[in-house]
Amino acid sequence: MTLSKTLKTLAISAGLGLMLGGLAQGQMATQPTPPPEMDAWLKAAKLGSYDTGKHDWAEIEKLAIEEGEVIIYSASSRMGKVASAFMEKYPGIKATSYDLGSVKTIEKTVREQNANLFNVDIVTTGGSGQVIHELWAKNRIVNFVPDMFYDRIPAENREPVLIRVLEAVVFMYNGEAYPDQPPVKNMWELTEAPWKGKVVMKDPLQSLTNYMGVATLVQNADELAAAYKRYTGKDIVLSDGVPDAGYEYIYRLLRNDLVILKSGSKSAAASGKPGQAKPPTSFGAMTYYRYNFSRGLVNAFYKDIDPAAKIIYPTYTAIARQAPNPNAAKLFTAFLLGSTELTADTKLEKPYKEGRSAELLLGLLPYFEPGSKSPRDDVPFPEGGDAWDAMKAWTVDPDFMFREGPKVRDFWIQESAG
Amino acid sequence: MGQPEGTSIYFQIRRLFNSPERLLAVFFLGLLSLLVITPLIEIFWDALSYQEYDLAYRPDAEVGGFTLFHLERVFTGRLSRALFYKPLVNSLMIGVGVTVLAVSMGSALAWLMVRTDLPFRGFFGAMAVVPYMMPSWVLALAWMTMFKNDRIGGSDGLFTFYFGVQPPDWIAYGMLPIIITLSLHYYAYAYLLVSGALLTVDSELEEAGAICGLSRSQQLWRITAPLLLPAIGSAVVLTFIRILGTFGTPALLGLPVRFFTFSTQIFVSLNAGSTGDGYVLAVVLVLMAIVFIYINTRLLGVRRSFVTVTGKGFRQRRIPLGRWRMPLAILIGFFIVSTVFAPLILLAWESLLITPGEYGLGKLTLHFWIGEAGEDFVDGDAGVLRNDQILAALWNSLRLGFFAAGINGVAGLLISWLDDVQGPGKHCLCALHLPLHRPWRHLFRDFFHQLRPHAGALRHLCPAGPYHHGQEPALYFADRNIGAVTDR
Repeated sequence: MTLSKTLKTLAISAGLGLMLGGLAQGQMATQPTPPPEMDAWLKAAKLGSYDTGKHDWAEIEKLAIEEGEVIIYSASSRMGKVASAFMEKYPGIKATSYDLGSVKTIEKTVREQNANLFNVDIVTTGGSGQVIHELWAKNRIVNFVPDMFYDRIPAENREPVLIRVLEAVVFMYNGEAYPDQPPVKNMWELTEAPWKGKVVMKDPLQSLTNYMGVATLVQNADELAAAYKRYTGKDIVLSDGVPDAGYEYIYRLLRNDLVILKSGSKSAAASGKPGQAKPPTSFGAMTYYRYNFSRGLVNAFYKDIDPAAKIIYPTYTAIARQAPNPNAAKLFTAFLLGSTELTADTKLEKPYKEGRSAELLLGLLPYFEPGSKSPRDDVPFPEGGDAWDAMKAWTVDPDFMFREGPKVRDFWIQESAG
Repeated sequence: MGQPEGTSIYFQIRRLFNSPERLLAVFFLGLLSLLVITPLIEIFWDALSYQEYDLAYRPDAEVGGFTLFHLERVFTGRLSRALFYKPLVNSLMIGVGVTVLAVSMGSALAWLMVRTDLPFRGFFGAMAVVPYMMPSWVLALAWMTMFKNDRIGGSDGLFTFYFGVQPPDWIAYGMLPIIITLSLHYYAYAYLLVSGALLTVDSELEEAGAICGLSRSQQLWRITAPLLLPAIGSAVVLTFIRILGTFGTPALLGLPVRFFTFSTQIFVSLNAGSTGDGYVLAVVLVLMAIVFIYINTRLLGVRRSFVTVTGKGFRQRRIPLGRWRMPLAILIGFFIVSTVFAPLILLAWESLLITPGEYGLGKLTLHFWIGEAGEDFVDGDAGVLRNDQILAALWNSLRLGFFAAGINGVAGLLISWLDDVQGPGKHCLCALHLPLHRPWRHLFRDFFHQLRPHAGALRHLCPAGPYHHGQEPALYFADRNIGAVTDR
């Protein structure tokens, strides 16, 4: 071996080492090589590395009907409706959705697989850090993107794991008490005396959604610091032992007697119930806006609040490792994404759950409402939903969630105990 | 002496097979070890090893490797105050408060029912155990409906609706309502145990006291009360331990004012995926339970009630209440109404409201009960009596309840019988009463995931898990009561 060659090899291995080191540092997730029994299943099911990206849907449907069943673990109660609609379209396949919530969906999947139980076909839940790092990066789920939607879904919405629906955490105020404009323009105003005991949220320790929301506030510490300066004209002074403006924001919210509730719908009702003299502001999932239509609430979004108006979090869907009904799972995944005939120009008429609209929306239907967005870029917004594009967004980062999330949670536990 | 060894073993085995109680004991010892000790090992294992979640702090740690990290976090770290000390103090305060209130209420009620000529005893007696049959958080929900104020925003409580005044936070949430609502639920332990014991007290003893010149209250305090001590002691321990583990009520009424207890903290830790912290806390809870049971047996002996040595003839004379008869009846009636009927009526009423907070008679609907699916109402869901998912869940609950109660009942009865007939090994069985503890349920669930190879409807119900009202004291409870019966 010549010297130059040796040097080259050394340089390459050093470079590789640095790269690998860098990966470990940032804890970027990768999917390891599947073990033999999983590989055999992947091969039979044409998934993973055996997935050519071209799918024969007539064949898949035939096999799915032979399988006759699909089991879904879901964090959404509305998935039961999707399952019913699926069974109407495919009467030969029994779809059963277990509404477990995000924490239990992940826990149940992990514990069953640890015990060599492979019962579930579809796992669909939020909880970015865990879905990517604990499920996908540990070979517990397999990504599957139906070929007809591949070009209609932006890469970030289908890699590494397909997103089924995008939702957001937002601040909401009472639109009846403040008809002309929102009561505050900057997030920091909510940490001040007039809002003492007047900001409510569902406990982020009991809600992965709000946990992600709170952690993403912390993640954007620099922007929060800048917003503080825009609001007060001064640089922020951090409290004792608080590391940055992100944590400082959480700290001050809690010190301002933040009200913590057990349920998201109660939190939405707190801000949105009509007839209140001094209604609070609520922090929570944007989809609770739907209660304006079904429960007579009068919530409104802070569309322009400084520094960001919404925190986007994805709900993933994937096929579980060694799923007993992989073809039914594929068919169900396609159903979740709606009809191929649906395009950006399609006019959908209310009520969406009837007639042509329902036929086009399929599995998107229960989530077709303001505050939710399909991962596809060619699905129109429902009535009242176009605010989505106008609101400045932060997006939940699975790697930050996994690396920093526990610290944010500990900070919360420590400071909320008072 | 003199028996060859082989014969001896043969003899022992034959003896074993000849005495079914020994076989049963071995069986239960094995079963309960599986159910109690295996999860215990798992608890310790998880508490003392790195979990996925710890990687945020110790990126180089290996998941599953041994560590004292969780112990540090819970007992000495900067989080310890929030994770351990504050919740512990809150739990102990609630425990003491509820125990004092519930045991006095329960004992007084038992005495009135069993030993006095209170009117409507049959009806009151039947009603007095109803609160215990309802989940304890039903009362908490009813309290919320009644007294919630604008702190948690949204709809008004009934009190505000009718009087236009917002109840202060300390009435609406936190320690006081938690103690009151839990007491109104858990007085049933004291009531059942003390009335059982009271039935065994011979009136002739009191008469003997009377002959010796004791006044009626002296008879009560010097003769009857000491005889009830074992029952009251059991009630105290049972209530106290149960309160330490109770979750639903503190979660509902404590959270809005950030009042955390030991059990809500355990729940939060487990739910948030930091099982290490959660299990350390769970172990502390279990140790506390063991200590209290130990104190109870030390103080009162292992017997569950005293056997009074009397001659033949056992009778019970009811003590006339005289002019207190009607006022006490009204008081008890009021008590029953406020613990049994009021919460149920409040919740039933709430279930008829179209919009929460508007209690007017014109604004009621039966939709939530019998409404059809598809109306633009409640997200288009059908009313509960037409909703297949809810009906399926109900059926699952019924089956679960039936089998759990059946197994608990039979096992409790048999173990209790063994307790009485068996000599050696008895203490092992006593130790196995442990599963009356809440964290255990979480573990059972995990454990059965690994034990049961096939998917089944019941298993899928389990994930609703740790915050459901449970049966776990039943085994212990059945044992104790049957003990009282067989002693008699």
